[in-house]
Formats: sequence, structure tokens, C-alpha cells
Amino acid sequence: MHPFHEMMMARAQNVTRRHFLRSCQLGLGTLALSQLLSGDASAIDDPPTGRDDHPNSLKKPMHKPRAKNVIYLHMAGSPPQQETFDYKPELAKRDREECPQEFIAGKKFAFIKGHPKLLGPVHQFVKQGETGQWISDQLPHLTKHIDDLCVVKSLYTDQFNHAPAQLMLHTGTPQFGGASFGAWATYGLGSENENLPGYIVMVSGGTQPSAGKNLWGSSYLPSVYQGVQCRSEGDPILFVNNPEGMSRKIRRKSLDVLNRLNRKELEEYRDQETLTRINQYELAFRMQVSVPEVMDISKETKSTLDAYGATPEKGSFANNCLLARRLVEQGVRFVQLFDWGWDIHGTGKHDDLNTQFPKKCQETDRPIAALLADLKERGMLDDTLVIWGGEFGRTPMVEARNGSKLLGRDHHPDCFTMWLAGGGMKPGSHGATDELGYKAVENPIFVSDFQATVLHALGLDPHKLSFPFQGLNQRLIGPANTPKVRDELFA
Amino acid sequence: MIGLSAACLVWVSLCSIGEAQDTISFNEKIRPILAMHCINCHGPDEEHRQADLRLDVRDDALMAIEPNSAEDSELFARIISDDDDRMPPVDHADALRPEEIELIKKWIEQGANYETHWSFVKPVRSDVPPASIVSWGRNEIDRFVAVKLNENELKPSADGDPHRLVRRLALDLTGLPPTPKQVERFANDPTDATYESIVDELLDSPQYGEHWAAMWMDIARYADTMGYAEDRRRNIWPWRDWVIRAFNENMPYDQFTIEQLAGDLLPDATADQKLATAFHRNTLNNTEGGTSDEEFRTIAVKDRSSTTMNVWMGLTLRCAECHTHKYDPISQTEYYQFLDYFNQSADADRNDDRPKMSVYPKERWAEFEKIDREMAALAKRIEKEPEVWKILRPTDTSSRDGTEFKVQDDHSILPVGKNPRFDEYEFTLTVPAGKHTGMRLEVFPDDATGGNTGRGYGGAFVVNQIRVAVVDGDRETNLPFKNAFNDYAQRNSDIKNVIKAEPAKNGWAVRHPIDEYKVKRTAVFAFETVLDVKQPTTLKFYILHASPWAGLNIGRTRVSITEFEGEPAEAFRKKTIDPLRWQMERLAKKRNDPVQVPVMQDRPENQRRTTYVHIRGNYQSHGDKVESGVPAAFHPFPEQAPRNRLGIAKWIVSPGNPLTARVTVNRFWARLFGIGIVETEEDFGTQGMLPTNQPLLDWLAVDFQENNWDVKRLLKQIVMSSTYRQDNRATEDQLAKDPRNRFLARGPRFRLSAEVVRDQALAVSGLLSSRQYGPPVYPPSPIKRIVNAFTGGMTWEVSKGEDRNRRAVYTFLKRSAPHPLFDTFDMASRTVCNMRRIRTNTPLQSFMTLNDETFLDCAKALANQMRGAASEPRNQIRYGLETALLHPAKEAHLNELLNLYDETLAEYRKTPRQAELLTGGESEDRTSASELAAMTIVANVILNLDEFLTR
Repeated sequence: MHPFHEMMMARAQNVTRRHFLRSCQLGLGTLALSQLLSGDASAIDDPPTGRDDHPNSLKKPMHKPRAKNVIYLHMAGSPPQQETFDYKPELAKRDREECPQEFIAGKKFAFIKGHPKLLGPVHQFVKQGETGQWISDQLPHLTKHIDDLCVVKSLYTDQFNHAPAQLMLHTGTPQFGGASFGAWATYGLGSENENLPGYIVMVSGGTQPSAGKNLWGSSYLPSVYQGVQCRSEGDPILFVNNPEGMSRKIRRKSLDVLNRLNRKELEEYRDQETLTRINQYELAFRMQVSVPEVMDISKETKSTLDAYGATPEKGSFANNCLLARRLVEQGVRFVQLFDWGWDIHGTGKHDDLNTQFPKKCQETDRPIAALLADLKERGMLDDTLVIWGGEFGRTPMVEARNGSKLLGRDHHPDCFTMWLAGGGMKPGSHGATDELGYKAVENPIFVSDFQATVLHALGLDPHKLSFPFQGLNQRLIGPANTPKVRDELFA
Repeated sequence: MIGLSAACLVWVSLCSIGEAQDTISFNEKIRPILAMHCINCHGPDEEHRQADLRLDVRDDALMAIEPNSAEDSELFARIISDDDDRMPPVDHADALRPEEIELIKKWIEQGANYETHWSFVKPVRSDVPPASIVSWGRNEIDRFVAVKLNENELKPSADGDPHRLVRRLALDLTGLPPTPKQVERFANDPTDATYESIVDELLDSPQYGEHWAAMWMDIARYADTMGYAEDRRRNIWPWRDWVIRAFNENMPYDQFTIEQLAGDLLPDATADQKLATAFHRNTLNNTEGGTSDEEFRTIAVKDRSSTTMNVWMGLTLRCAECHTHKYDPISQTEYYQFLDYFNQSADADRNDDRPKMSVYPKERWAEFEKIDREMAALAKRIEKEPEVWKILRPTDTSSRDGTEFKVQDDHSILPVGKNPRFDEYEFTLTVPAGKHTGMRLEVFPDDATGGNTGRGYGGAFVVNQIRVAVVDGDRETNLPFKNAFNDYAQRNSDIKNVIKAEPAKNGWAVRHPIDEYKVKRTAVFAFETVLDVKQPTTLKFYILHASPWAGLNIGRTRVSITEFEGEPAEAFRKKTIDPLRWQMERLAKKRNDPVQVPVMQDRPENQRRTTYVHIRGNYQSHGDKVESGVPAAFHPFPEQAPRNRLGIAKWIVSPGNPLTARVTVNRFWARLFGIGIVETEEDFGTQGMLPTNQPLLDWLAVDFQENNWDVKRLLKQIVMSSTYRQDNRATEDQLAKDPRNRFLARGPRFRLSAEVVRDQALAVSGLLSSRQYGPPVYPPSPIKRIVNAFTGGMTWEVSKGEDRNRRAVYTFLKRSAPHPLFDTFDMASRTVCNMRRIRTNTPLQSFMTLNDETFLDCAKALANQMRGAASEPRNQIRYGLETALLHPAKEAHLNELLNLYDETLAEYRKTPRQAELLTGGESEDRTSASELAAMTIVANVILNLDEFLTR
């Protein structure tokens, strides 16, 4: 095993514990502890170079980063690029014509059968901003930020079902068992705030994304890197609150006793895990304050709440956007929002382009615009990378499943649009699809390239960021060396 | 330390053992360097090989190596070069470190000798270091360990304190703490004989199997759902029970292997042997609409093939799916040859998981006998009962939008042909003369609808209106219902809604969280006014489907009518209408309620699938056609064995297999010592870590194999050793020389696994249920509702009674959202085989053991016990400590906790309401509520002690 990996494993398993000699100063006498572990005492003389031995401690990026944090807004189900950013006048012109034969020859779709018809954009587009980009009239608030967006229209994937495509995008493999984007980022960079998890996930829209918790799992990476799901109902983090009838004062007293007894255990057994445990209980105690505090948006000003359209106590995408800003402000490395409801097939009013799609736009447009404005105003947009998109694209053809008259589009892996903002990305439009928006033809970007690019922006080398498992140095970008960092997206 | 071992601690210098230190071992020193820096481009993978040079085979490597002369070796020149021609290439990787270069140099100077990778050479029984040289220890294991200790200038520790040792032993062997009696027995008489008798008791206890089955569940990627987006329920738990029984019955590991891989192919396979093959049906199944069954079938087959190799031989086959393995001797063609054995199974990612077998779980056999007797008695009584329901055979059937029907022998009506988006069924019925008070609609699961009651997506139906009309010539007169009752409906989807004049928005829908649409449902309707007819009369029975979702039409139904005196719907609710037949139906359902378990089954010989190489692993791009086979670098396929999964199973456990026994003994060793002799339990290939003590590993492996693959014997052998029994306190010297205890100069100490953390807390607080086997249970969880895309999600209904507190191995495991206990305590996702959990130590774990409902229940229960055990708080606390930790309480602990009790009690006396909140208001009065609350806080601390969470 490579020394680097050995070191990472050692960290993960908390076998080297020098760090705790420092961080345990909070609740425990340093002297007693240093005496305790006199076998390892030399470590105390180490200069405090940062908390470099803790699995989640801050690590040095591999190169100068463009962004420190990520806010990833995943629109689960996948919004239609034809009604958001990828304006296709030719498609509008040929609305309801039979699609070209080559669109369907030898092709398999999730639901489309027979020879489908083309479907022009169902909503109007406007051309906006200095960058002169087209954007849907369903996104009036985001339109104001068009010059901040790096809109990539030429993404493509190789999966056309939700769960595999989401897994592909977020874990680098369409099958279960990969480690997630955020887990890789925190594994590579650690967390800036030791009182909060480095990777936090929030879900809205009433439903988990198709691939479930695997999208923010750590898989073979140690579980300390897994995304922690914060909830809007009940405890924001599982069990963070003391049970009813146990005051914080009593909790403190009992933890003091617990720590003193555990310290005796440490004295006797010299098991460094014991030291870690003492520290973790202390961290938990601090998180009991820090987590509810950061999750409580009621202290935000009314104008901020209004700007986002956020309502304290009620779970919503708007609240989650505001929380994302608060979390990043506190040094959380990777915040990921999954919003369900974008699977616009047109089989009923719950999934069509005329009812459901405008509703989803309405739910998300204002909060996203507010988030961008807020980050900018606080000077955070420069080192926060905001990402928006779904897991694949949608067909330029109408789905018309079982003869449905409602308008919708089927899953389509060959092209889709995502945008990135802040984090040193270059605003403007990148890449292009053909005139009917069927395939990425100009600067196509496969999802692995996208992953490589985001990791690179964070100061990580996507080819070197790896973890040994099942005989392979596992990487987010997969085993092949073909994925490339796409410099053209950087400012 | 305890007298018994002190005398044995005689330590003799061992310099006579051990090899000459100067010869550089290729396997230990050189292979890792080549594997790390060179083999990726100069290895077995032809396609990506650079400069036509391979360095993993000596004959080829001699292109670049001049034995005995580093200076004349191109390889050496290139690794020390400062120029552009340096290897590994500058833009590719860093240069070799000086010490690595030095090793390569020496090795070339010594002749550049290669060795086969250690684990690919069949193990031979190592010579046990003779007692004349090593006098420490009790059995062979200790002598092998002693040699390593000596090499590393370490000294072994004495036996651990008897109390803690028995606790460690019980937690390791059964996953539960020992009984206080067992602890006492050994503490009072710490002899080898007593120890051995406790070991035997633990190995024989029924809890033993549950503990080791829990380990096997990770390996088998077991879950109670199918995975992917919909993650529907799958009933495969009878297989989990098979595993528990197999461990308890100490099934030899070779048989355990053969039955799980190929039990169905054994001659005259028993039901149990077929059930065992569900091992490989734990693969995922994608039921999402629009997904390609062949794609996901292929994924499952590949998973079976690589899991097999990984579990039994510790090799990672998956790399060779897309290209020839870069490190281990498995070509891409060989990957697909091996896959061919698994490619013949009949399953194909079907929504219903076919093929399945009916299993009548053993633990219910006694119950079945009782039901049979009840049914026989009931049948006699029913003979005398008049018919209450008259089943109506339709004289005509039609539909508005094109559904067609086939009337069955039992007069039920099966819709066939197209399934329209929305349809209304129309059944014409003739009712006899009489005073009819109501009707009944039964809906049956049917094979034609995938075993479901509905024709819609996932077997669903939604009925939005049911109405009946009396036909008189061309005229139809509606016959309104005044009431209706169903035996089951989803929330807000009651049958009462659908008998109104207007179609209901939420119709009658019957999705059940466990049974889904797979159970017969019945609804009874009461007429507004009695239908009093003097002669046979024609009725029309309409079933309308008009939900927002298309295609949700009902499946096979049957209509009956009754002259019941009274209101039939209400009587149905009270079970007073035709009660005996209703009871009979219920009993029959219970009796004939086999669990349908997915199992392995091969397709008939004339339908064999052809296996092709998949170019870059893509199931759609076929390369060459391949025949079944095993990788050439390993032992040959047994001559007499059939060319199918059974043959593979035999190949795996054949005496010639260099890996299976090693991988297995290493796995059991790792569970007892926290870390394997080979740390990478999952990788014995060239990228894996080397054994810290190969002679020991090989000796154990051969001994295991030669003793009938006897698992209990192996475990006993290990726990009987002095190595295992050592005190686990570390000395300064040990920490400095061997911080991770790889050489075992002290006893193993590590945190308990997820399952044991929970089970132990329940056990010491007296809450743990000892009920074994059966369907999965739902202990309290903070996640009340799990919503998956498309399927509407599931509500986590907490089990009642003792099922709340069953062992963790019985907890319902939903792949997309496992109970937080598991992922908080390091269980990897149950989507692929996982051989080793990487232990972490996080604040989320602290939250769980401090605040989770189950752990609080435990604290409360323990506090209650403590208060009942003594009158003085100090003695109560002593009781609590000793119950949890199983050794005499220490003064310091008592003082600290008593102090905490006093201070907390004072707090609660000031805020009695808080005390009631914490204790759930169980106490008789405020005084005792405060005391119980304070003691609960104490118990909560005890259950969070590092010592408690560790063994």
C-alpha cells in the first residue's frame, strides 16, 4: 500500500492520535494527558500545523484552489434544458413534426415508443445580460444573475434512468458502491469548522432522490466523510437534541463524569481510541449548540427571509438555500440540496410542462437568485462554487406515453445543461447542442470531465485523489485516465 | 496478574529461528515496489502495456534487468535517472524513494529472483516452532506469535483479568455479554478447564449463530429490499435464518460454501439446500419503469461472479470486467469465462424477482400444526352453516375503453388484453329471487397480473366509483349503497368514498407497506333499501377507474350478493356476517402463507445463454464468445466436477485452492483480533497487504482444511490461545514498537460492531428479546417515513412488544435508507459485498448512544433495575456498574457516579416536571420520579463508558 494511503487509512481509523493532545485541551488537563501518553510525547512538541491528524481535519489542497466550498443544487428528476437554458429556435419551428429517423434508429428510450414528434420549447425565452444568453421566462429572478452563470450546454452522460444517472454524476459509477462527490471533497480537504460536519445534505420536494442515501454515502471511504442529512422536521441532525427532561446543564455534568471516567480508562489501557472517544463526546456536546444554531433561520432579518421566500419551521427548498449559505458561512465544505419534482414526462398534471414545470420554477427561481445575491453581497461567491442541474437531459421529442395529450419529455442522456456560478468559473455560455438539441456537438463534456473540473477547482487533482479498495485505487472519475479537467470553464 | 499464566511466561531467545536477514524477499520487498510504481504500465494488461515490457514475469523482465549487476540493468538506470527518461515518467508519478532504489539495487545484485505471489502458492502446514525454543503459551498459535514477537523485540502480556476476559470472550463469540454466573465461575476458578467449559457453552448457545450471521450479512450484501430507485420490499429473510442455523449447527465451511453457491444443483437437493442459494439472490433488482432488464440482469450476474471470487478467494475480479487485470493474473477473457457459470441462472431482473421458492419457515411449523387442527374442527362446523354469500357468475362482461374479460371456474372475472389508461368495467349479473341486503366484491392477486391485485404500475389499482343498477329492458335504475366496509385501504382511500353519486377523487386503494398488492382484499356494500325481488333479476355492476394516474385498473374480481338479515357492511366490520367462513379464510391464509424467497436456478440446458466478452465492460458491445472456465493461474477445475456453479463451488473448496482456507481463517481471526493477519481481508492479490505472520496463517489454514472446515473448532482454537487471552492494557514499550498491535504482544481491544453496541445495551438493561428467526422487525427509529421516488415510500411502523427489542440482525434493512444504527456505526452500504467494516469514531455515534430512543429505554430500564436491587444509591450504582461491565465496581467510579446522582437529583427535585418528562411519568410519585430520573442519567453514563463500548 502506498504510504499516502497508509497514512490516510491510519487517519481514518484514528490510530495516530497526536491531534487530540491538542484538541482535548478543551475539556481536559493537557498535562495529565501528555503524561499519559508519554510514549508518544514527542508529538506534543510538534508545531500546531493545523489539525492534521484528525480524519476530518483541514488538509492542504493539492494546488491553489479556485473555490473553497461547494453548494450543489441538484434538481432531481432532471429539468428540461429545452425550457430552461438551451434555446432552440429550429426546434420551435419544427414543433410536432416527426423527429428525424436517426434520432430513433437503434436507440432505446425509457418510455418513448414508435416514432415520436418533435416538441418545440413550451415556454418563451428571453435574451439577457451582457453575456447575451438565452434563458426561460419561467426564471425571472435568476435572469438578473445571468452574467454570473457559466452555463454549460454540452454535458452528456451514459445513463438514462434516474438512479444510475444520479449515481454516475455524484459517485462516478452508475452502480451502487461508489463514494460521493462531497465525501471525496471532505476526504481530500477536510472541514473548516470542527463543530460541524464537513458535508451536509438537505432534501426538498417531498421525496428522496431516486438513488437515495447512496448519493451522499461514503462507501469505501471512512464513514466520517459521509454526507450528514439535516432535516427540517424533528432533530436537524439525528439525535442531536438531548431527550426531553435532560437539561444542557445535566448533560454537561454527566459528560464531565463520563470524560473523567474515560480518562481513567485511558490511563490504564493507553488505548488511543479512548482518547478519540473522549474528544468525540466533547465535539458532540459542542455540536448540540452549533448545529441547531446554524439551522435556525429565524434569526435572519425579515428582508433576507423574504428575499429567499423562506419560512422558518417549514421545510422548503427556499429554506434549504438560505441554510446552504449559513452552512458555508460556517465553513461547511460541501452542501448539497436535492429537490424532487423535475421529472417532466407529461403523463399527468403532476409531471407536465404546463403545470408542474412552472410550479417547480416558481418554487426554486427566487431562492436560487437570492442565494446568489446573498453570497455575492457577503463576498462569498468568489470562493463558493454553486452548481445547478439534473442527472441527465430530456428529449427534444414529446413523450406522449400511452397517448397522453399532456406535454412532457422523456429521459435523454446525450445532452443536458448545467450551470456553475462563482468559484472562479467563467460566466457565459459553453458548448452547444445541434440545432434540434438532440446531441452535444460543440465541446461535449462527459460527466467525468465535469467531476474532474469541479475537484480541480477545489484544489484537488482528480487523478490523484484516490482510495484503495477492492484492489484498485478508487477515484471519483473512475479508473480510466481519460477524464480531463476542462480549463475552458475557468475564468 | 492472575496466577494461572504467570508460570508459563518463560521467554527463550529465538535467534536460532528466522531466515538470514540479508536476502531480499521478492514478495515482501520488491513486489510491492513494482506493483506500486511499474506494473500499471508494465504488467499483465497487454492492451495498455508500454514499450512491450512487462515486469511481473521474470523472463520478460530480463529485457531490462541484468541479474547480479544493477549497473548493467536498464531498469536500474531508469529509476535513478535525472533526465526525461526517468521511470516512472516525470509527468506520471514521483520518483522512487532512495530506500526503494536501494532495495531494487540489492535485489538485482542478488540475482533478481522472482517468487510467485505468496497467496497464489498453496499453503503447506508450517512447522510449529518447537516447545524447546518457545516456552510461552498454550497452543500452536502462541508459538508462531512468539516467534514474531521475538523478531520485533516484544514480550507477550499475561492473561487478562478473568472478569474482563470472559466478557471479551462472550462478546466475541456470541455478540452478547456473558451471564454474571459465567463471569463469576471463571473469576472464582480461573483455570483452563473452567475457561474451556465457558468457551464450549458460548459456542453452543443459540445466540452464537445470530452473531456470526450478522457478519455474513455484510458479505452477502443482504437487505430486505431490492435496491435502486424504487427499493421495493423483498422477502429473503428465510435465507438469513438459514445462515443463523448453519452457524449454530456448525455446518462445515466447505458445505456452507457449496450449498450457498450451488445447493440447487446438488443431487436430490433438499428444500434447505435450495434456500441456501438465496445467497446470490441478494443482488439488486431494478424495478423502475423504462429500465432495461438485460442491463440490470448483467449487473447482477457480474456481481455474483466477482462476489464469489472476493468472498472465498479474496481476489478482486471486477477490474477485469473492462480490461485485463492490471495487477493480478486474470485476463479479461478469463473474467468472462468465470462469469459464464453465473450467466446461466434463470433470474432476469424481473419485477417479481422470479424464480422463487415457497418456504414455510421452520419456526412456524408448530403453529401450522395447530392451525391445521383448528381448520379441521372449523370445517365440520361450517358444513352445517347455510350459505350467506351467493357468488354471482356474470352473464356478460364489457368495458367502456376496451378491457376484455375471462370468467374463471370460480366465477371470478379476470381482465385480459389491453390495459387502458382509464376504464369502467361493466358486469351483468343475475340475482335470484330474495330479499337482498348487500353485495361483496373480492379482489384476488393473480399470476396474470404479476401476483398482484391490480393491473397498474407495480400491481396497483385505484377504484373511483362502484355502483349497481337494476336492469329492466333498456332502463337502468341505480341501486344506491348506504354503507361500505373494506378489510384494508390506504390512508384517505377508503371504500366508503367510492359509493357516492360522484366518482371519488381518492378512490379505493390498497397498497400495504409489507404485502403491497399481493393479498386478497374484500369489500362489502349495504344497499340503501333492501332489493326485494320475486324472480331472478338482472343487475349491472360498474367499477370505474378515474384516478390521476393512468392504467390503475383492478385485476381479478368476484361479486357476491347476500340476504343477510341486518346491515351487511357493518356486520362485516364487526366480523359477525358469516363469521365461520371468514375465520376459515383467515386461517387458510395463515396456513398457506409461504414466504416466496428468490433462489438460484439454472436455465435448462437447451436454453443456455452464450457468454461474450463485453468490450470495456459494456453489456451491449459483444466481443469474442467464451466457454466457461477458471483463471489459468490457479489450480485446475476438479476433473469430475460438473461444468456449472456446483463445479465452481467444488473448485473453491478443493484442496488445491491456495486461497479459500487462508481467506476464511483470516476473516475469523480478524473478528476476534480486530484486524486480520492479512489486514486487507478483501484483497489477497498483489495489491493487498502482506500477512504479518504467514507461517501462522498457513498453519491455521491447513489445519482448518484438514479438520473438516470446522468453524467452531477454529474459533475455539483461537480463543483458547494465550495470545487471545492476553491482557489488553498497553505498555509504553508496546505502544512505541507496535502501536497498532500487529504482532500481538497484548490482547486485542477495539470498539464493538454496530449490532453488538445495541444488543449489549439491551441485554444488560434486561430488555433484549431472545426471540429468534422470522420476518424483519422495526425497532424505534427517528426516521418515521422513507419516501422513495415513484413508489410512495414506506412508513416505519415501530414493532410492538418484544419485537421492539430484538437483536439487530433482525432489523428491517432498507437499502436506500438503512436504520441509522448501521450507517452511524460503519456498516458499508448493502449494495455490494463488503468484507470489512472500517471502524470510525465520530460524534454522530456519541449522539446515538447518548440520545437515541432505544439507548434511552435501556438507561431507564437499567435505572429501574438498579433501584430495585438495593436501597442505598451507592449500592444501586454498584449494581449498575457491575451489571454493565461485569467486574467489581471501582471506588473511583462509584464516587464519581454517586456524586453525579446527588447533584442531578437535586436538580430534578427543583424541576420535578423535567424528571417526569425524562422517565415518561411511570413513577408513582414525584420523589421517585426524581430519583429514577437521576439514576437514568447515571445509567446513561454507564452505557456510554468507553469500557462498555469496547471489548
